[in-house]
Amino acid sequence: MTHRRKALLSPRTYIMLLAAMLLLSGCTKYVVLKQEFPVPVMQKHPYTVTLLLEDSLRNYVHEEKFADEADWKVQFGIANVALYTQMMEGMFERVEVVNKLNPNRRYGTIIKPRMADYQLSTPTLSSTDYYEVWIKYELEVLTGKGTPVTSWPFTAYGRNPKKFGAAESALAEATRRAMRDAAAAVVLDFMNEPAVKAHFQGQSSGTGSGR
Amino acid sequence: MNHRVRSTQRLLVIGLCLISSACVNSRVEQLRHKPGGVIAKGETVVVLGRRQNFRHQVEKDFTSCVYSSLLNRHGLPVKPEEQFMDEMFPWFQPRTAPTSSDALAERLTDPTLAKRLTDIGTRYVVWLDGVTTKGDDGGNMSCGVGPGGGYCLGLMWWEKDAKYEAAIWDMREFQNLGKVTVDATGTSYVPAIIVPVPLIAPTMSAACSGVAKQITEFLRKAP
Repeated sequence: MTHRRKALLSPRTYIMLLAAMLLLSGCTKYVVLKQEFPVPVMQKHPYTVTLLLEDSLRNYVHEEKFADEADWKVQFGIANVALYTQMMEGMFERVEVVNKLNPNRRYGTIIKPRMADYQLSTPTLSSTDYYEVWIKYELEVLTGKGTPVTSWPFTAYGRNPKKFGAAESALAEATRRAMRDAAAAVVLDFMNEPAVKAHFQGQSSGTGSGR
Repeated sequence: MNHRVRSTQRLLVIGLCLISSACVNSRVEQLRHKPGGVIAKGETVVVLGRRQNFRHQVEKDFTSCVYSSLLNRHGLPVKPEEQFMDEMFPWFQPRTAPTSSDALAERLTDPTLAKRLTDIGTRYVVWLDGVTTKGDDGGNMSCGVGPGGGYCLGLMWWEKDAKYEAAIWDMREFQNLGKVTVDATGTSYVPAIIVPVPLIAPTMSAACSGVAKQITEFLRKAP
């Protein structure tokens, strides 16, 4: 009498296991931003500024969990540093970049960018063909002695069409576009913000600090 | 035997009919505001996709297609979009890009921008706007797998409509030279008698060729 040896797993189990593996591999999608940004083309403002890039901005990581699709983890890495350094160097004549303030030193007008919010939307969520990103930044302006002048919040937007099998790169591109939009917003509007304008005009007439 | 030959002939006829129907109908119109522009030695053209429209954005594939067609088929000195955007950063981003030639003229009153534009040598900009959309679709197909292999049977079809506009600006004279509009529609089919045979209508590339050809009627290289 011969016994046919039973296979360890039935075809159906194999398929289910394969599907589970595929699902698990798509559980979290990682995006690491490595972008570089050009220096804005513009007439530089004749001021000295100190760009304060704190660790919270340098190491910003956004994690988002969705019920019906993969989770996302977006690591900004050096992208924020590159964006703000390039942007300020294009906007102002003298720029010093620091990651913390020394209370015994005097600085130029301190500009401290902060990430207030990051939101993303996928084609599944929005029922469109696009990955979309909204970034809310806040630029805090302080005098050279560290006294707050104003805080200017603004939102930047970027989107990129979906591409089959390239979700991470599509979201990275949408984020890159949002960051370029942020640069456009700062170049266009920051110096026209009344409190910012008044502060720098005060410097020009010699009443302000930090020039 | 005779029956088999007749069936083969019938299939061939159906195939030819389908191939001929997977074509694209396109209509191209041109509106001139000024006589055409001449691209002098050292000057370049850039093809930019408009991204201000919230509902749609020009596909990168379409912008790349027009760029490649102008560069490779028509031999115009065209600069890559990304390079120009970086060289003029951030003044041609969706938030800041001028929407009219008057707005461009106003923007270029800034001497730093005007100088940069002169330095990089980009004389003409072609603004592309529009999108390819999917229209009606229908048909059905069923596929199966048996001991002898797989098979499919049925017919599927869908329509695509490509509507684009290209506005050509002279950035030295701050003039809108004119615009080209194209509307291309095509129906694609996938008939399947055992094996599915996709007959895809090249709607977007037909629109791209139409636009690129018309642009060359606006812009020509100096002899």
